[in-house]
Order: sequence, then structure tokens, then C-alpha cells
Amino acid sequence: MQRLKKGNYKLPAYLLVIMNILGFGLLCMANNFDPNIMYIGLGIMAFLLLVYCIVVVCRMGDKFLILIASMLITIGLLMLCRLNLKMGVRQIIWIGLGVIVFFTSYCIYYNIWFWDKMWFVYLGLGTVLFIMTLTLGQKVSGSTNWLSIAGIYFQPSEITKILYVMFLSCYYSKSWEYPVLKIKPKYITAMGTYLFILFLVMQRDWGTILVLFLIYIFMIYIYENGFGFLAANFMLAAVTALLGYKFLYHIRVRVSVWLDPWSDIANKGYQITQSLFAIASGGYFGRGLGNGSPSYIPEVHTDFIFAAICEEMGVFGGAAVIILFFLLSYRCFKIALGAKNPFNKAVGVGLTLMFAFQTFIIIGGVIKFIPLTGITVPFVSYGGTSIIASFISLGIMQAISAKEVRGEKRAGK
Amino acid sequence: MTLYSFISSGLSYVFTTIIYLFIFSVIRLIYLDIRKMSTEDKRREYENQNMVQSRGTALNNRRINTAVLHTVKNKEAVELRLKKQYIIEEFAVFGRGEDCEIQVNNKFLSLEHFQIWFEDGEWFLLDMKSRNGTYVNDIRVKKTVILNDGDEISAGGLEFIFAV
Repeated sequence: MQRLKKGNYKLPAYLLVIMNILGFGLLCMANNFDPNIMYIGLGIMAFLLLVYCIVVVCRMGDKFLILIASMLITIGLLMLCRLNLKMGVRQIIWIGLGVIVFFTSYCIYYNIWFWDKMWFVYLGLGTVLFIMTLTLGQKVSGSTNWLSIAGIYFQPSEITKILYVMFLSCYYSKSWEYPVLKIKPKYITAMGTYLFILFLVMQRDWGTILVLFLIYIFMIYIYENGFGFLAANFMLAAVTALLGYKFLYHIRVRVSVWLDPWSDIANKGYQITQSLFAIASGGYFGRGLGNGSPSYIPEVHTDFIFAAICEEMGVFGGAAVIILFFLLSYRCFKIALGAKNPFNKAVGVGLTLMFAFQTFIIIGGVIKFIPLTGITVPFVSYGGTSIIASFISLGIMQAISAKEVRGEKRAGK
Repeated sequence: MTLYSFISSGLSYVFTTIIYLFIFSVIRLIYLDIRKMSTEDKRREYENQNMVQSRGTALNNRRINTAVLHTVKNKEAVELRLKKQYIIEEFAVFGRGEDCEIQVNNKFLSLEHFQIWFEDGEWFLLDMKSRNGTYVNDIRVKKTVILNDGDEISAGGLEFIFAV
């Protein structure tokens, strides 16, 4: 006999509710008992629960993705509202939009079946976005990667990452085998990769370069036979990195700050040392929401939000964020492994790698494990495009798992 | 130290606990999910093997899942002239009542004693609030349980061995 263990799908949702009520109650208290904050908090909580219920009731595939993402959003949102209430409210609006985008991308991806035949669309759209950024872009804190349309600023490189993953998947799912202009598709993907990286170098967006390149390397490692092509790419990257280190001032500064931030603590090393101080002052359980002083860290709301979480929620809180991302990537990998359609499999692997490396690069940078490159933490950081892009990727993953659960026949074909 | 910072630092422990409970519950759900999937895979494999064996004789495509209750020979079983085995197709109620799929006229049994059914690749057993209870491997059944091959089911002094 085996006792039937029924999974309690309500328990995590209840915990999410308690977390939100306590957190926003605390924020409400910090702002002289302003009831509006409580309403906002309850609203976003109800919204996230609604999404979870829709996913469970409509059998939209994997149930855990949205649950884990909700917890990450809650942690990030509490932190943002505590840092700057205005930003928190704007973030809530973005999350609302993001949820709509989540369902839209789910429906679109679920119902269209010719994704694997449109590699030129992804490549073209990515290039157009890059050229638009370079010509019409705004310079914000050193890098030209912002585009403003009708007063709304957004970062096209976040969207490009998804396009790039789909572009690579077209080739690696073996649905694109014909050569173009007598060049094999394998070399066209390589050329596309380096074209994107070149554009990103012009924008000085080192974090995205690292993410794209790591996705590329790992896709080669997963799909290509033999190590020749992998080694060639690696050599090329190493040579480029060395040249960049030699001739580009930006990269040299980042590496020297990574190796020794203490020698120039007032200037170049200020950001990273403040982050380290913040993490250290948190201790195991943190100083409590609102008790710390994370506002000393520059850019604390986007890149350095992990340091703020570590300060006010402690090392355990920071570790919890990492574990949540770990679970998210684990679920995504599982979906990718289970997918039968090769294109869905490749897209699943690519998006998983995207989530995982993005988290690794920024958290590693914040704790001075690897050189710091500015990039957002998915779902946690402040930033409209980042949230929207994360929700699009999540919607695609959800659609892949739904196709698997419901059977490929009813989806699209 | 103000009241706010006191409450806030107290709540930081609560937050940590909640987040870890959340992680724990999600991991547990994932674990249950994986186990369910692996048992389904095993069953599918088993069914495929059966399909190969009975390819020559299979006439209809729809497969009916069957399980067998082997009667253990004891005094009551001989007195009641029970069959050697009872075949369950998808669903069966065991009891004294006339509507039961498996009807046994024993005074220690309730009208509807327990039911066995097949769902999502697993066989389930549920005691239907019988007076004398149902025991699986000598443990009284209180909730729905999953049956494994070779489990001993006993009810009202009668003993059966469950076989898939």
C-alpha cells in the first residue's frame, strides 16, 4: 500500500498571501499608515493569485513557473516600494502590463506553428532594433541602449535576447538546413551572433554581450558534434576579450575594480564596496525592511537590488532568491527536456540559459564573484522592459509546457 | 530604537521563514509531480509490452485496464465458496449489497464495503465508511490509498491479494 499523497497546491498561494499582507502592512506603517499602500499591495497580490488560478484551472501546463515568478516579484516589489514608493507604483503598472503580455505571448506562441521557419524575421527584427537604438537612442549612464517612443523609455536589447534565442533555435532544431548565398546556416548563425555582439559593443552593454555569448557557447556545446567549432568560437572570444581589455578603457576599469575595489574606494570602487558593506551589515536574517540604508549604493533599484535584499532580508533572504531562480531554471530545463518538437526544445533550452546566466552574471557581479556588468535581475529589478521581456519568456515557456501536456495535435497543427 | 524598527526587525525572521516554507512546499509539489510521472511511465511501458504480446488477438483498440483480486484460501473463504479470483475492469465496488460488482454474502461486510478504481495510471482503494473497516497490508484505510502489485487487502475476515 502506498498512502496517496495529494499535492497541496493551495499552500504556496497562502504563503504568498501572508508574505504580501505582512510586507505591505509594514510598508504602510513606515509611511504614516497610508492606506493606499495597503490597497496597492492587496491589489497586486490578488492579481498574481488570479494569474496562478487561471494557469491551474485552464490547464496551461506547468503550474510552478508562475508561482515561483510571483514570489520573486513579491520580494522585488517589497524592496522597490521600500526604496522608492514612486518607482514601486510604476513597477506595479509594468507588472500589470507584463501579465497581459504573458497571456498574449502564451496564446500567440501556442497557436502559431511556423516559428521555426522565420529565422530571417528574427535576424532582421533584431538588426532593425539595434540600428534604431544606435541612431535614435538616448544616452543613459554611459551606454546608448535606451529608445524612447511616445515618452516611454525602453531597452530594445532585452527583446533582442528573446529574438536571438529563437533565431538560434531555428538552426539547432534542424528545420533550417538550406544554405543562403552558398553559406552554410551554421556560419550564418555565427555571423548573426557576432553582428549582434558588435552592435552591443557599440552600445557598451557588456552584460547583454556576456549573456548572448554564453547562450551561444552552450547551444553549440549542447547541439554540435565535436569540439572543433566550440573551440574556434572560444578562441575568437578569448582574442576579442584580450584586445578589448587592452584597448577599451571601460573593460579595464571593470576588471581592475573587480580585482581590487578598495584602492579607489571613493570613486571607481564606490559602487561595489557599498554593495559589499550592505551585504555584510545584513547578517543572517537582515536588519528588517526599512531599517537598513541601501540608498548609499548607486543604482540600487536595478542592478544592485540583490545587495539591498541581502541587507534588509539577510543572507538567508538572498540565498532564497538564488534558490528560487534555481528552481525556476530547473523547471524550465525539465520542460525543455520533455518537449517533443525540436524547435520548442531548443527555444526552451535557450530561454532557460537566458534566465540562468542573467541571474548568475548580475548576482555574481554584486557579490564580487565575477567582474560587474550592468544587467537586470529578471522579475526582481526595477525596469519596464526587463519585466516585460521576462514575462514574454515565461509565456513562451508556459506555452511549450502546455503543448507538451495537452498534446501537440491540438496545438497549432 | 523606535517601534517601527523593532517590528520590522522582528518581521525579518517571519519573512525568512515564510520564504523558506514557500520554497519547501514548491519543492515538495515538484517531487510529488515527478513521482507521479515516473509511475505513469512505468505503466505505459508495461502496457506497451502487453500490447506486443497480445497483438495477434487484440480486436478493439480501446484498452480496458484490469486488475485481479486473488482470494486467499482460509476458512471463511471456503465456507462462502468464493471464486479463486475476481477481475476488476476499471472500477468495482466490493460489498454485501446486490448492486456491487463483487458481491460476497458475508455478515461482517457492509452493503458497500470498499471500492477500487483506476485513474491516471494508478489503482486506488477507498473504504466506503464500512463498519468493520478495510485493511491494506494490516493498516486500516482511512483516506484514499494507491494500491501496489501484491498488496494484501482484508475486509470482514476475508483476505485478497491485489495483482495488476
